Amino acid sequence: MANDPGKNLLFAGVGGQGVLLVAELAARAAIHAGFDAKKTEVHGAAQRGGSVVSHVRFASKVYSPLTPAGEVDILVALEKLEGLRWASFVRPSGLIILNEEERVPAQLTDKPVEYPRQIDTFLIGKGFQTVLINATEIATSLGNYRAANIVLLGAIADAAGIPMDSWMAVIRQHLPPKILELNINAFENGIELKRRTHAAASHLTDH
Amino acid sequence: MTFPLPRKLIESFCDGVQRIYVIEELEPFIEEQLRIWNVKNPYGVSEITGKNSLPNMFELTPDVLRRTLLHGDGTTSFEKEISIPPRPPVLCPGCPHSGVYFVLHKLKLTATGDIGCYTLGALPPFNALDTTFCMGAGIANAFGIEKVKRHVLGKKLVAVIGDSTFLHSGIAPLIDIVFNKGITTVILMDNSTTGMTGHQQHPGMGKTIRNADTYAINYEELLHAIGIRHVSVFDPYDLEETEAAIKQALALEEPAVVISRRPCVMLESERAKPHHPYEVIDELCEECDLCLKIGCPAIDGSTPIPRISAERCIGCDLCAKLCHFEAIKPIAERLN
Repeated sequence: MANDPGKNLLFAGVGGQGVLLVAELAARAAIHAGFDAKKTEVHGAAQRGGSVVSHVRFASKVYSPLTPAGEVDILVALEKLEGLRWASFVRPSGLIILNEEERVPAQLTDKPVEYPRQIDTFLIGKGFQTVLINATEIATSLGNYRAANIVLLGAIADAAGIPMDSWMAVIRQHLPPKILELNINAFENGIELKRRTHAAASHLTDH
Repeated sequence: MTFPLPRKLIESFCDGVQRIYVIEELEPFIEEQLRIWNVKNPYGVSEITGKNSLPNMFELTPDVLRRTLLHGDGTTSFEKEISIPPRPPVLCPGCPHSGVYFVLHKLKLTATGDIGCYTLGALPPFNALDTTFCMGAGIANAFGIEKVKRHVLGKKLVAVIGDSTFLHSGIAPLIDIVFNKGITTVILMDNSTTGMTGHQQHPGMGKTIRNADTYAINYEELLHAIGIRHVSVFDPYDLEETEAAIKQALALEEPAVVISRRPCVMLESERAKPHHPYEVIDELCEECDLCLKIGCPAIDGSTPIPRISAERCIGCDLCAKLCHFEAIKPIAERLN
């Protein structure tokens, strides 16, 4: 691990979606793989429903958990608008994994807030590698929509540069036995989906 | 942080450097100490940079430091190119506080708030709280307002405080009200836990922080002991009962406490209960948006006919109670 620059990860979503859990798993997987890792999180006053973000940095040595704007390598957005909100933190041509789920924010004004359309098109236009995944639907088909966060975690498993056995070890260690199989399924689905998207994208550039 | 500050340690740190940066959030606490000790003089520090460059508000993120100390670019937001609506924190679907705040809003009461999830009652659609300062301040603020504005606000003033906050710092100001012959009504929002910070045990729950059995304070007995004669309990899911209990207390010429009693929906014990989600029946909905007045995040009001998320609705039935057209029903009922 000597002088390995590692990666800066950012996890964003809505309170209750499991942002903090996947950030925790990523940090622990990095430590398991021999990296130094630091993590911090920002969430609102209420347990649920607000904007939640967690920074994870790992490298041979990490001094501070907060990644400055423009230096995030991989952004994982559990909700689309939250992906847009934090996209400016991603480095040029960095990777954004975007869940297709849309949650309209609470209304603070009499005039309804318009949910921004075509977030993915906007992000692609900005030059980010933007991968859209319907993680909530996949998780629902596997047995529980709540596992969407783990589908998305699987989607960054390759790109993060953390060995697969480290990911599997922390998932087995930290998730309750009752939901372990579902979550391993979700994780593997995420890996596969990202690989397929990647293959499709390379295929397109080939022509 | 230790106080007094470790002077020898700090002075040896300053020894031999030309410029000291003091990077601390909020007020210049350490910086002022350094200036009082005059580290410039004995140690030859030529410059102290602190609040002359750094803001005394908000978080000192790497980008703020980059902008202020290194004169870099800092954050580049996309907000100028695409609308990014804010996502304020909200009360949970089925939160017992929603019922109370709906009624406070309806009765147009002046309400002094306190610190907890329930502080969110200050936001739309409730706009129910008028003040929030620190733990225990809600009751004291209400009594202060009563003292100077009793003739104006009369029977239209309540203090709102959660169970955990009440036990932490609400009892003393309530004794003050009784002792000094106030008439303020206090709504004790008893959700059987410390909601905001993550369900820590408190002295009203009968469990220690290590989850061992312990004595649970009986609020009614406690309130009677300090001189509150009128104590009533209501279920905030019952909007009529809620309104009646608050009105009854307000009508009295004495201090009163009404207890809103229903456990936080996020408690494991509540989550384990079966939930029967509701839905909006398109043919019956008149698109009046009254159901949105309960401020439930499981209801998406961005479409003409509001949509209830079956995954997030816990079936508290509060929105259905508001609907004049019986257009909100349990999903199962429609299937039958």
